[in-house]
Amino acid sequence: MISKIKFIIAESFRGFFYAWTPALLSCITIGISLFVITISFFSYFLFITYTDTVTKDYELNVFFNESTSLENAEKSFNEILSLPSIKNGEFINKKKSAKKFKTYFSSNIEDLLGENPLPYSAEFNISQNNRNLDSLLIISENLKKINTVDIVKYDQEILIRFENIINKLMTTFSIIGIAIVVISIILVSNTTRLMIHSKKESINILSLLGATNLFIRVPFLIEGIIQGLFGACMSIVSLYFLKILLEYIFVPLVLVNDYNFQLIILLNLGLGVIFGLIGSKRAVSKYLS
Amino acid sequence: MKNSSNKIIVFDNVSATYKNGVGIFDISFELGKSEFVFLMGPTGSGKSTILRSIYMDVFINKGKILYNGRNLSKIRKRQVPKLRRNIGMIFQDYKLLEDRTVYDNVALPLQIAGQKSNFIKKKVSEMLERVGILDKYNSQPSKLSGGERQRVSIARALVKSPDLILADEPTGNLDPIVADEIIDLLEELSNSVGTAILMSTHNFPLIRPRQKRFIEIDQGKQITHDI
Repeated sequence: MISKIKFIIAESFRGFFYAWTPALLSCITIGISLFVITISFFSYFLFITYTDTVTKDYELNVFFNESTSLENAEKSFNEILSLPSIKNGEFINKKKSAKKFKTYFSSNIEDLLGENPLPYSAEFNISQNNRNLDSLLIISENLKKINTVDIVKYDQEILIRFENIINKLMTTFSIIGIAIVVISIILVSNTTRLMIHSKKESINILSLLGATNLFIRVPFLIEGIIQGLFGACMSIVSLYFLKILLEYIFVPLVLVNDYNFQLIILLNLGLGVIFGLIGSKRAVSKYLS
Repeated sequence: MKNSSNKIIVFDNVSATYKNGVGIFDISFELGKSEFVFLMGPTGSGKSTILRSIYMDVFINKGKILYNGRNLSKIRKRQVPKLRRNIGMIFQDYKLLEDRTVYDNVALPLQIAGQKSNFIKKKVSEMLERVGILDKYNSQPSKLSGGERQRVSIARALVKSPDLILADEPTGNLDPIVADEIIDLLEELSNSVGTAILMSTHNFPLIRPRQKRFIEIDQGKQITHDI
């Protein structure tokens, strides 16, 4: 059994070096795919982190009716605060609103108007899961249904822009990612197909000598895995140099720490093996049936 | 039908046809254990089809073939590799792996069978010595003469100690002297090892002096009847 395994592994490497040009092409394609996928993944990851930071104060401003008493306004505030979509909030009484007015306009509203006509209001932070435009619209509509609530405000334009950018980027990353994965798999598959074609006579001889289908197929599958691993190594080396470059250019803004780079290595090796295996499996199933 | 217990191969009214209608028709013969029999007939007469139907590269559509008493029609497709491991095959075009050495080629059936490397080394050397090309063990097949290549092919067929060798025109590409040497070698191996050999050839002058039993085939039909 061990000698059989040794033979199969030796066959796989022999096959890899036998047609090294298409095999190298496959490795390079897998390498490029993994490089782009890793960059895309981390760019997306960083972008999400950045937007989370920017939008961490996903805020709703609720203004109560002028006629609402302090007691009713506070009751409504607590009612809203208990909603699962609300993370936390602050009730703004007349004193606080006057203070805010002074901060924004550098004047005391009571001095200007003789009284404080500003209504009771509240600021609410939205819970993490609801930080998107659709949820915000629903929450806003629900709050407007409360009798004591007059106006619900949020910075819609910025949020819409962020959401659109995120959606577009997600779509673009997904399309690019899928396209690259498909291209890699097709290329690995074609390389394996070429290998199978060039070894047709050898395969026939092995079959005549009593080799099982599995015995004939496994070296091609391992060869696909080898291509995937070589491709992953190419990608990892390129990403490592990119990391050094980024660290050199953006010294205070080191984007990739060592822990993340270990993840990158694992991600690349894992995906490389998967791409290589799927590609070779596709060719083997198609041309060695 | 005669008692088939001492027969390695029994063809009982076997027909196998290709899509274009050619093939073999109502072939019946027996091959005893350790027997050396020639399958004789012109090119395209169906000799290879008979051999291919034994190693199940061609499926028959009438009659039955018994191999060691076992009906081949009842063997499932996934059991074919196991059957082939028990049969040695020699071909006119040698069917050697050109990117491997002589040693690798001869070792191949044992590697397929999952034998241990020490056993493989011993057995391959033994076989190469037996067929007289031990000194060529590290050569590529492309560097060998036709006769030497056929000897590699014979060593590869014998290395797994088969009970049957099917030789499909093994002398077809060889000059008469080398062809004679190859048949001498096969005869000697058949006598010493006790392997049954069924060898196809179109060259009657080559086999005539050997006084061996032969089955004559023409246009897929049997001319000389064995049973």
